[in-house]
Order: sequence, then structure tokens, then C-alpha cells
Amino acid sequence: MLKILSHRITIVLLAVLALITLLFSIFYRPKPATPKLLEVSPKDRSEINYFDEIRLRLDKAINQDGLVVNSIPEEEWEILVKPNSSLIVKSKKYLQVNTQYLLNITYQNSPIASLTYTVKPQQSDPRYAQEVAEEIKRDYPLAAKIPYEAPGFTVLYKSPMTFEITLKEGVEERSEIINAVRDWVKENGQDPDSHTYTFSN
Amino acid sequence: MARKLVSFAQSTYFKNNSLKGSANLYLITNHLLPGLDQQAEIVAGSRGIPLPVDNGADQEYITIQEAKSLILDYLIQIKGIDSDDQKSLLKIKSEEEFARTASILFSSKAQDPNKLLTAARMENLEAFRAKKIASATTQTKTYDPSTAYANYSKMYFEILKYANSAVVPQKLIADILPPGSSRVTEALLRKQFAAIIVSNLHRLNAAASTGSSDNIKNYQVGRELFNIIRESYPDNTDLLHIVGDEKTSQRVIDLTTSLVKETKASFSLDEYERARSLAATSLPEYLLNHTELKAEIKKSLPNLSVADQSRLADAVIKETIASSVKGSLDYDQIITLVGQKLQLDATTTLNIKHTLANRGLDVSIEYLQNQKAVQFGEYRFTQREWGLVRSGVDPTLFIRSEHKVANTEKSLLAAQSTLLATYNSKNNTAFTTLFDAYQAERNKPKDQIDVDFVIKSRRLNGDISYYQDLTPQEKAQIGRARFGRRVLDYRSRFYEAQGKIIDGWIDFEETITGKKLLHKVFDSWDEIAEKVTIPGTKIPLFRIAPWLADRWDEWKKASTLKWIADGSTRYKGWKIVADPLRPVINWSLKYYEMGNFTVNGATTAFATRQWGKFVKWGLTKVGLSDVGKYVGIQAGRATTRFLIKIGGKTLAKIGSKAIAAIATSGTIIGTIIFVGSLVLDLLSLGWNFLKKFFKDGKFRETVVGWGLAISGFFTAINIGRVFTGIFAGLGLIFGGLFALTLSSLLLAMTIIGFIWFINTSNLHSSENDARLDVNLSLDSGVGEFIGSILCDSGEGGGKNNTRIQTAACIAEILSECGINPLNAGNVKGTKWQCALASTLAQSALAELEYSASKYEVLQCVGFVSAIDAATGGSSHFTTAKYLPTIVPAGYKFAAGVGSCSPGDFFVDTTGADGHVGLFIANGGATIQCADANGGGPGVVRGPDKCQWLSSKVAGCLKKI
Repeated sequence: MLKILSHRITIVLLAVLALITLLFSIFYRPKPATPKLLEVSPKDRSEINYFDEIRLRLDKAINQDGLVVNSIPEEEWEILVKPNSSLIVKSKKYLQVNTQYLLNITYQNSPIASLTYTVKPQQSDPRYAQEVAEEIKRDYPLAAKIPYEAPGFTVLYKSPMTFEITLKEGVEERSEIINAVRDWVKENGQDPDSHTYTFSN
Repeated sequence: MARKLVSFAQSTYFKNNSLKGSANLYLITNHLLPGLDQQAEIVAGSRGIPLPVDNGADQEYITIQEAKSLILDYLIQIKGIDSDDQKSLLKIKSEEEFARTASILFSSKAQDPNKLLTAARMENLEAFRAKKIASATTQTKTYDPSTAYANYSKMYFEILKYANSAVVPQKLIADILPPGSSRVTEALLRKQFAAIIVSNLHRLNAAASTGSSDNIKNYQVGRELFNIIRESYPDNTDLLHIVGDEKTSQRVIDLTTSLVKETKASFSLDEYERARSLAATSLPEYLLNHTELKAEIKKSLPNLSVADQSRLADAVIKETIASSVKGSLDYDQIITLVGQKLQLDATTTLNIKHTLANRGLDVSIEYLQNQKAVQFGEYRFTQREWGLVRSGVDPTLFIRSEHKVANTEKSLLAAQSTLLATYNSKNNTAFTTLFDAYQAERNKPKDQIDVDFVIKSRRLNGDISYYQDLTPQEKAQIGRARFGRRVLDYRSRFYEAQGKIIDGWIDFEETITGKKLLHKVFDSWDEIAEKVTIPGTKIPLFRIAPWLADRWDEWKKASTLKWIADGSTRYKGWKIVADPLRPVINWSLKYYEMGNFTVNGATTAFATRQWGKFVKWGLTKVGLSDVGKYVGIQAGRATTRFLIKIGGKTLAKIGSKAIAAIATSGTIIGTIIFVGSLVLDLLSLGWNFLKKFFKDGKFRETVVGWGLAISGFFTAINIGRVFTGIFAGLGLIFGGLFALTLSSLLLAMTIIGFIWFINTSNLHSSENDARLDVNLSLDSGVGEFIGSILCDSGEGGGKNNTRIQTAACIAEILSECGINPLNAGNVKGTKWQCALASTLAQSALAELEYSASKYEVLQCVGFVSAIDAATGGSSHFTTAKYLPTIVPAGYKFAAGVGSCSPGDFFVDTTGADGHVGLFIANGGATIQCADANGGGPGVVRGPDKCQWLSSKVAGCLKKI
């Protein structure tokens, strides 16, 4: 009896063990080792240009998820994972010139690299120029066509999405002129309703 | 605007500057001498010498003869040149040679000794004096060369002490050079600045007296100081970034005034200037000349063998000449070069350096080298002459005899015997050599010495010894430079003569009766010829040959580009072959491209460039852009005026082709492309016509009968057979003009052939790089032409604004060359060669290259600097944000976007460093602009691509 029981227990124990092993093998994922930084370009503690991207090469391939880049001063960073265990890190906006940046790159909360860069000085402020360009694109989409000189009137931007029409002497047909300007806006690929039309005189 | 020829006493410049009948140093060195020098380079006629005038006023000219008289008067009255020099100047007929000789007199007699011995080296001279070494020439009771220097030195140090210690100048200097303005320590920089101002007090004072308004005075002083530092103080280029703006210039004027006032206590500014001139004049008498130096060097090293002594002495003397191509060097640098040439080790070189310096020879060696560096710069040397200089032979002694060595010897010996005979007869002696007489005179008691004789005989002995020491090989080498010199002299004289003829013709033509009718006939004919086409085609009836020529040009365009493109990709050896030739190819292609790949266009481009060089050069000096702009355009048109006058527009077309071919024939590739094509053009168009005309009686009869000779040169053979009878009626009208036209054509061909001969002859004597140097250096002044006339672009809202057109050109050229955006990488690459070969002024390209190299990508500041340079400016632009306060010279800042006009530079001071660009048009809340680095790293945005927010524009920099 004991012998039979013992045999059954052994089988059950073995089954439980097999089940545990199976469950373990299914659900257990060992925590991966932190990837190591093999190479970075431009080199740490060097001067970079305001538009430069930073290229890193690691010792193993990694997923985009779990990759985080923080910096002081703060910037919004784009991360692109490339084949051959490489990463490209680039600020969405131009970096502030003549400024030192400290970058911390982590993967699944483990630090991969801490890098310091100084952005080379310029004779103007490209970051600001970028903001101006964005503002013009957003608020004055037809700025490249302005001033628009027609035989009876001139069109200028008065404020964001608002045109100011100046009539030449003796020209009175306001509604026709607004229609003409709306046509012109349409011809230039914009929705005529996106703009407001005012007269200066 | 017509040429306003005035006498000097009636000129605005004369009235504004309260002159007393004579020109001042500023006018002479900055306007008259360079103006005369240009006479040899102007392909067509001269308008006289332009004078500085107020902004917006009519350009005024004085005659060439009056300019020469003013210079001569100044040299005689103020500088006291001796009678021999006066005579030699009076004899000179060529304007260029006169300017050159007068410039040499100025550099040796009138200019600041600091230019030859800079402030630091004056201390060397003081040390030399402390050694109590006797002067090279004798001293008498009334003449002591060292005293002249001592007098100047005393005055100089007195003013310097005042500048470095008194409250007013110190405050002004501190204002000009605020803390942190330079890498050099502040105190040192301020001292260097004070020394520069004190040394050049006279020049700055003269500049501050130029012009009627404060603006112009500020501008002149800023520019003068900028030039002084750039030319004479290479170690202080840091200061170039500081000087130049209006405020600094005003303070420099205040400083100058303060120092001049101080000098008045013990001496006047004129006395100071005279002492400086005397010091400069006496330096060569005080220090050793080549011959004496050679003897002294030999004596200095008694331990060496005689052969080695000679070798060393020769090497030092030759190095003082050869190294002059590097500019002024100091003693240490010269001896180091000698050591390298003789392959001496460092210890031996150092020993020699100390030994010669201990004997007081260092100052003479340095002076001779510096003097050569300055003197050679005054000459228009040929390539072979520069070759002589590089090999250590001084060619100046032989230039007057056009390198006929025997003639030089003859004239030296003749001068020697004349001087000796005069001396013997005066002193009742019987010396057989000049050297003996010279020694005897020096040994006389001091109060009996004839100083004039001592100086003259010493100079002559020096020249003769120099000549006699030359080896036969060196003499042969000098002889080989003869052809180039003769051609250059001949060409200079020819250009000047040509200028006079053309001027004379234009003046004469103005008086011809019936000229209106003549012009009308020419114009009508041109009109008819353009309109009438062969039925069913677009081929102009009377323009068949030019039409064919254009097709030929198009073929050349395609084939030339194909040849270059093929070569660069297909042949491995191309790089080796093409690289050394690249500058030459680029240079020639530049004109070819400028002329839209037609020979005709290239010729106009080159001719315009030549005119532009002259006019814009004057403009740069005067600093008044509006006047220059107008005059420039007038002058550009004048290139073809002469041809139009003698043969109508038809002739002008082929004439300008010839002029360009001539002008560009200085290089081998230029000859192949331009002159080669001209030969073909002439052969196919002209020769066939003439041959047929003279050989074929029927043809001749037909041509004369129809009166088609006016266009016959072009239409050549086809006319007789195809159009018989159609124009019989017209023949009556045009037939009468035939004789006149044919003779005009023949005259033109003679002129063309003659000029062509001279230029192609010169090809054999001048090597490519020398001509390239000359031609490429023209660019700084002609940017306006390049920008406004020759570039295809520039329609971006500023049809009549050269600065907008220039901005458009920069964007277009960089894009076409594949280097927009422009960065540090591509300004070193092959695509940059494309930009170099473009129509853009070299000075503008240099600004672009500098900016992109220094900041990795082209800066907005670099872009506006390039526009400024291309339109004749040379202002320094600082970081965008500070431009409203640190205003570049020649500009004024006007606040608010409302003050901006097309062509101004708008400034935005927002952000870390702000932004600057070219203002094109007001669009209300936005503006139209052109800029760089505002639309991406190094991206140049042309007029149709750049917009900015009006609310952010702080104001505009407006050209004064």
C-alpha cells in the first residue's frame, strides 16, 4: 500500500514540479543586463553645433521602449534606434547656442550614459529663428506672397490670419475685392475661410 | 550724369577742406596717385581723376595733368624733393609710371618711418644709437642723419607720453577700448593703440578734415584708421574689430584733436610731419647700404674662411631682397631664413644672429628688408621681375633701361663720370675713381664736407657695386625679363593713349553737325535688321551671321561644360592635370559664364569689370555709394560708346567681343576659349566678306548698290545671291553711307588687331598666376556690377536695388553650385570652386568662406558682410544683437521697422544673439527679406524664401 502510495505521490510531486517548471519557464523573464556604451559621437565633453545629432553605439541591441533621454537644460529629444545596436539622439528644436548641456540616457531605468556638451557660439540665435519661422508658418501662411499688389488694391498681413486690404484711390468695389482676395488665397493652396479680411480705408 | 570736369580750385573738395591752393597728403595718397595708376588698366577712355564729393552730389573730376601738377607741387613744396627727382618726374609721360615714381618718392621721402620701422623696432633703433656706432655717411655741423631721427623720436615720444598719461586722451582711449574688448591685456592694447594714433597723427588729422558733414568725417577717419592698422600693424588686427563704427570714429577724431592741440605747445603738426619726413629721408644715409653691409658682414666673422664669409654676406643681402615678397620681416626672421638657405644648424644660425647684432648690423639688415618690401609693392612687376626678386636680385635698378643690362651699366658709368668730372672741376682735383673722391671728401674737416656730393656718390657707388657684384648668370637672368617689361610698358602707354583718343573722339563727336541724323540712320537700320526674318523661319534676315555665331556659342557652351564634366569623371589623370590649371580655368570660365556662355557676353562682362574696377575703386575710397553707383553705370556703358559712335550698334557688338577677347587673352585657356573663338568669328564673318568684296567684282557691285555694307560684315556671302533686287530702293538710301561704314569697319579692325597683338604678345612673358593675382584682386570694387548687371537673378522685388540683386545672386549661385546650405565642409570642397568661378565678387566670396569656416555654418552676419563687400563696402559687422549699438562703419542705425527701405539690413535683437538680414519689402505684420542661417543651418534664403516678423525688427542699418 505504502509502496503504491509512495509511487502516486512521486508522480504527483513530479507533475507539480513539471507544472512549476513549465509556469516558470512561461512567466519568468530574467532582468536583462544593462547595455554598455561602446562609442559616442561627438565625444563626451566636446563642443557641438546647435543642429548636431548624437550617435551612440551599444554592446547589444535594445528596444526603443524604455529608452529615456533627459537633459539640463531641458529639451525634447527624439530617439531613433538603428540597426547594429546604434542610437541617434536629437533635440526636436535647435539647441541653445553657447550653452552647456548635460544629457542622461537611461534604459529601463538603468543609466547608459551621462554626457556633457557645449554648444558652439553663433553670431545669431538659430533657436529663436526657428521659432520665428514656425510662427510665420502657423500664423502667416501666405507671408511669402505678401505684399500682394493687385491693380486696384494691396494686401498685407495685419495680424495672425488677418489680411488688411488697402484700396487704391477711386476703387470702391469692396465685396468683389474680398472675393478676388479669397480666390487668390485659394490659388495659393489655402482655405479662404481660414483668413479674416479687413480694409484699412 | 555727364562728366563734371572742374579745376581743383573750383572743386567741392577744395572748398570743403579750406585748402590753400594745394592738395593735402590724404587726397594725394588716397585719390590722386591711385587714380593715375589706374590709367594703365582702363581698357577704354578715362574720365579724369575723380575727387571725393558729398553724398548725392555730382561726381567731380580733375584733369590728369592737373592731378600730376598737384602731386609734384606737394612733393616740391612740402617734401622738398631734390632737383634730380623733380626732373625725372617732369620727364615722365606715362601716367602709370608717374604714379609709380611719385609713390616711390612718397614711400622713401614722405611716409611715416614707422611703416619701415614699426613702433617696436624704433626701440631697436634707439639701442643702435646707444651703441654709438658711427653713421654710415658722414656728419657735418649742419647735417647729421642721426639728428634728424633723434628730432622726430623726441617729438614722437613726447606726444606718446601725453597720450599715455593725460586725463582726456586716456578717457577717450578707455572709451574706445572698453574692458574685455580684446584677447590682449587691456593696458597693453591701449598702449599699442596710442602708439598707432601718435605715429599716424597727420594722416588721421587730414582724414578728419575731409568732407563737410560729421558723418563723412567719421567715416573717413574710421576708414583711414582701419587701413592704417590693416596695412602697417599686422600684429594689431584685433583692433580692426573695434575701430570703424561711428562712435569710435568720433572719439578717434576727439583724440586726434586733443593730441594735435598738445603738440602746439612745443611744435606744430606740420613740423612734426616734416621731422618725420626728414627722419625717413635720413634713415638710408644713417644706416648701411647693401655694399657697406656686405663688407661689414665679412669683417664680423673673421674665423670663417674668405669663401664662407662671402657666401654668408651674399646670402644675407639676397635674403633682404628675396624675403621682401613675404612683407616686412624682423631681423630674427631674416637670419633664420638665411640659415635655412645655407642649411646651417640652429646653433650656428644663432651665433651668426648674435654676432651681427652685436656689431649693430641688425637694424640695417632689417631696414633694408623692410624698405624693399615697401618699395617693391609700389611697382607693377612682371612675373619674371618677381622671379628675380625671389632669387634675391633687385630688378628696380634695371627697369628704366627695360633690363638691357649693358644700358644700365652705361648709364651708371656715365653718371659716375659726370659726377666725378663735376667734383674734380669744382675742387680742382684729379681723382680717377668716384670712390677715391668720396673717401677724400669724407676725410675733410667736418665743416668743409660737401654733403650733397657724399650722399650722391655713396648712392651711385652702392648701385655700381651692386651691379658689378652680379654674376654673369644673374645678368643673363635680368636680360630675360626684358621682353615682359617692354610689353608691359608698351601696353601701359597704349592703354593710356587709347584712353586719350577715345576721350578726344567722344568730345569731338559731340560737335559733329548732323550727328542726330547719323544716329537715327544707324538706329533705324538696327531696328529693321532685327525685325525682318527669312520667311517661315525666325532667322533674322540681316543677322544671319550673328545668328550663326550665337548657335556657335551655344555649341561651345554645351561642349565646354561637357568637356569639363567628362574629364572630371572619366579620366583618372584629370585631377593631376586640372588641379594646377583650375584657377586658370575658373578664371576664364567665370567670364564665359558671366556672359551667359557667349563670347559676346564675356567680353561685355570683362569690359564692364575693367570699368567697374576703376570707378568702384574710386567709390570705395570716397565712400559715397550713390554717386559711385551712378557714375559706375555710366562708365560701364561708356565702354561701348566709342564703338557705337564709329560704326553703329552692329559694329559695337563685334567690337565688344574683340575687347573681351583681348582682355581675357592673358591666360592660355583664355586664349583658347576667347581669342580662339574670335579668330573663327572674324575669319568666318569678316574675312570671307572682305575677300569676296575685293576679289569679286559682281559681289562688290551688288553690295555697294544695295547699300548693305552696314550689315555686310555679318551677312557676308549670302546677300548677293539670295536677295537680288529686293532692296534696290533701299540701296539708294544706304549706299551713301557705304564708304563711311566700310572705313569705320576697317578702322575698328585695325584697332582690334593692334590691341590683340599686344595682348597676345604679352602672353609669352607673363605667366598665369601673376595675371590671375592682378585680375582676381579687382573684385572687391566691382561687386556692384557683378551683382546688378551680370547675375541672372535678382528680380526678387528689387529690380533696381543692387543689394537685393546681390543677395539673390548669392542664393542662386550657392544653390546652383550645390552648396546651399553653406558650411565649413563644403567651402573646402570642389563645389566651392564652382562658386569661385561664379560672377560673385571675390571679396564677397571671401566673407562667405570666412563665416562658414569659422562658425561651421554660414552666419547671417557673414551673409550681410558678403552683400556689403559685393557692393563696394568693407565694413565690419559684429554679432547681430549688438549691431544697433556697434554700428558698422559707413552705416547708420534707424530704429523701427517703419524706417526700413529696400536694401537696408534689418536687425532683430531678440534671443541670445538676435538676427540680421536684408530688408526687401514691408508686408504688414511680416517683411520680405533675404538671410542666412535663419531658415536652417547655413541656409541662404533668397528674396522669395525669407520672411520675418515685423514686430521683432528693432530697426535697420542704412548705408550712409
